[in-house]
Amino acid sequence: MSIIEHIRLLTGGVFLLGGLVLFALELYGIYHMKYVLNRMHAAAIGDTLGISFCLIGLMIFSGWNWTTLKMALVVLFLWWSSPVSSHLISRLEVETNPELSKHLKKGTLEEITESKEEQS
Amino acid sequence: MVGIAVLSLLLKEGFLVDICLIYAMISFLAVIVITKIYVREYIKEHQKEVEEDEHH
Repeated sequence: MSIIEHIRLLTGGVFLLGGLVLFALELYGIYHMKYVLNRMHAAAIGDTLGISFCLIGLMIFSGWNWTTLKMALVVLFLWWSSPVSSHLISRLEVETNPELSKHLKKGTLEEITESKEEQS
Repeated sequence: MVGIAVLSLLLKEGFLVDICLIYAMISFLAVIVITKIYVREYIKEHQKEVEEDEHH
């Protein structure tokens, strides 16, 4: 194996591993958070960065060919579609949940942190 | 989606990435359609309830 192949293997592996770590973070966030909008925030990590990192890693493994181009298209499409999907789902929640105000905390950052400290 | 992409690289079959892209498109379309239908049905039901309350 030449040095360039070693470097390619290493960078591809790092990207793939980074993507998997981000997926793990996403999963933790989804199961840790209680409310749907918070869960969406966690899920967006995997939808954008997680998949992108994994696909960039695979693109590095694959080299210059049509498969790499198609993977880049998948990444671009996901970057474009994921915020739109998130926006639609959050709008659905806001429009159809009559008890939305229960989940929203109003106040300054200091007030919110103080109330959290009191709760804990 | 990443699984399909990994499979395409392992099997050296480029068409599997096309499936990946189509999968992404279908999931995006599904989100749009389902959210639109849900909101529309919710508004219909809500209007019905409001009208019934007004009659009583």
